[in-house]
Amino acid sequence: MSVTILQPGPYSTIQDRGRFGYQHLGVPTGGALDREALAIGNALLGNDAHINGIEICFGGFSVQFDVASRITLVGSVGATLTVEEKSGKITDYRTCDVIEVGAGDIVTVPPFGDSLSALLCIAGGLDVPVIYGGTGATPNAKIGGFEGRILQAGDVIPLGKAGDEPSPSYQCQRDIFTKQTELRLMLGPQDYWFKQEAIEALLETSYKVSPQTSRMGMRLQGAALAHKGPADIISDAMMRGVLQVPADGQPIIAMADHGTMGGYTKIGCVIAADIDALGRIRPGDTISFSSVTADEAALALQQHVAARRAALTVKSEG
Amino acid sequence: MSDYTLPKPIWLPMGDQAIMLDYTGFTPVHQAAHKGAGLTAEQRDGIASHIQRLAAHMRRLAPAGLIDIVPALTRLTFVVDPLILSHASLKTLVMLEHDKPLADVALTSRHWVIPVCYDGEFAPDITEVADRCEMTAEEVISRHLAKSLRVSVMGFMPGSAYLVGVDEALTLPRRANPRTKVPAQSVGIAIGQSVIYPLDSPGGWHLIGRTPFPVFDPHRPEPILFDAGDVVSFRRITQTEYDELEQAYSVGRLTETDLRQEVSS
Repeated sequence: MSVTILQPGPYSTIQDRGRFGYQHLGVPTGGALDREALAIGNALLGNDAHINGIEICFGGFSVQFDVASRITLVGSVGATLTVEEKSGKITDYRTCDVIEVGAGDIVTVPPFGDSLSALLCIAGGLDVPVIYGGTGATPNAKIGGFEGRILQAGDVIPLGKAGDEPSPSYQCQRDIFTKQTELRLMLGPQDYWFKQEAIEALLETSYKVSPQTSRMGMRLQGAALAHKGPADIISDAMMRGVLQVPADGQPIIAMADHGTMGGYTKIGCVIAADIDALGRIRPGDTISFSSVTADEAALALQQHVAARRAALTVKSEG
Repeated sequence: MSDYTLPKPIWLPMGDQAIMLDYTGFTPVHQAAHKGAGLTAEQRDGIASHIQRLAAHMRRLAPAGLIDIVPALTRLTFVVDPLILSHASLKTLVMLEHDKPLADVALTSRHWVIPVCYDGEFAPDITEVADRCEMTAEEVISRHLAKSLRVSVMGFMPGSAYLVGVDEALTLPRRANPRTKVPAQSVGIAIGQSVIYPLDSPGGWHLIGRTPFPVFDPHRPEPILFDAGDVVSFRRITQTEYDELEQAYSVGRLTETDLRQEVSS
């Protein structure tokens, strides 16, 4: 009951929803870059919501199953998946397809071009140790996932116990993983520390995502955001989606593996409705921001959740 | 501390999933507010201690929808599930507790004695620190050893502790050129504080020693050694002792309990 990694791709890790309740000890929340894709993948397979999957950045990944299993690929519109059976028969699939694989089958996710990450979900997930309430890898802290690191060729990872086939079975419209490059944020907590021109530049110009982007942070290139004084603050808590601005004025968006404390001024934070969209934005993309109020953010989140529910529908028989 | 009145905190949202209580506050002089420069060391200690108690208290109350509570030196952040707990409800919940006497909220106060080797490759910055502080390397070491420090706040990486109470004569800014890789277990000083690196990581502190005991080890039942409120002092060891203790740790003969000291008050 295991899978063997044949090709890890540039950056693949085991990820779940994340770790909550331990940031006061310095434990990063981590978790999938696109947590709603993980939730959808788990729903499609009948997994519990806490089950992990394999987060594949950019593709170029392949894995061999030693037992029959049920899988799905989520988090991208354009990503594809091929299953090569022992007989040599090759079948192509797309995201959100629920696929029965057999013992010995090789599953390949070729490089994809739209999303930063896609998630390969497996019925029952991967059986790796729980640490601080999570199983996802935060490689810079050497915790979680498979031996606290990114996956390597030859890794043999035990599979968790799969539940029964979901009843009813669900289907999902893959266009809900369409890349969104206009992000909504709430200004603060330290927006008062920026000049008015900086707030205007942030909201009226666009930013390019730097190649120096990782699961810790998405570095942006564009109009420099000028502080009223020094860029450093007494360190305080961080949050996924926060835009920190160091002295050079180029914002960095905190991503899943951000440290629990940060010492740069925070001009704003991407709202919950748009946070998973960050997991689909790639280096080289151009993004822009608009500012919303707390009430607008609450409404946006309700609409977002409703849209996600509507996209996941019960499959009709036949 | 008992006579000290806390400044009135202000609430600042960090997106719709988090909100922070900021005790540095707004003043017409933005810079003072921003850097906390208007606060004395005693005031800062009072604020930090209040934040830890309020955080511990709220963690125990555990209202539905409150996901994480992240204390910092002058700000306390609450992470919520906005579909369950609105910012407005959270503020009400916190402010109901805020002015209660929290002095009896017990915080951990274990006393750890950490063995540190201040020699050779473990202390690449000790000569520079000595020069800049206008003292000998031996004096830097004895001043670092002389004081008991306190974990004011945990953070950034698992197990990293900001230790306050370092001898003021050793106060230096962070290094102008941070290192891209600092070895785990390095002991550093800067900005009047001391740290022990839990992991190999980039870092800008001045490195004056190293401990053979990892402050973070994911293979231990309790991977993280410190918690806010703990007292930490250092014990000088030689390179030979370092090697012996490192060996002892690797075979399980050196454990956390060997570093604990009963607090004599």
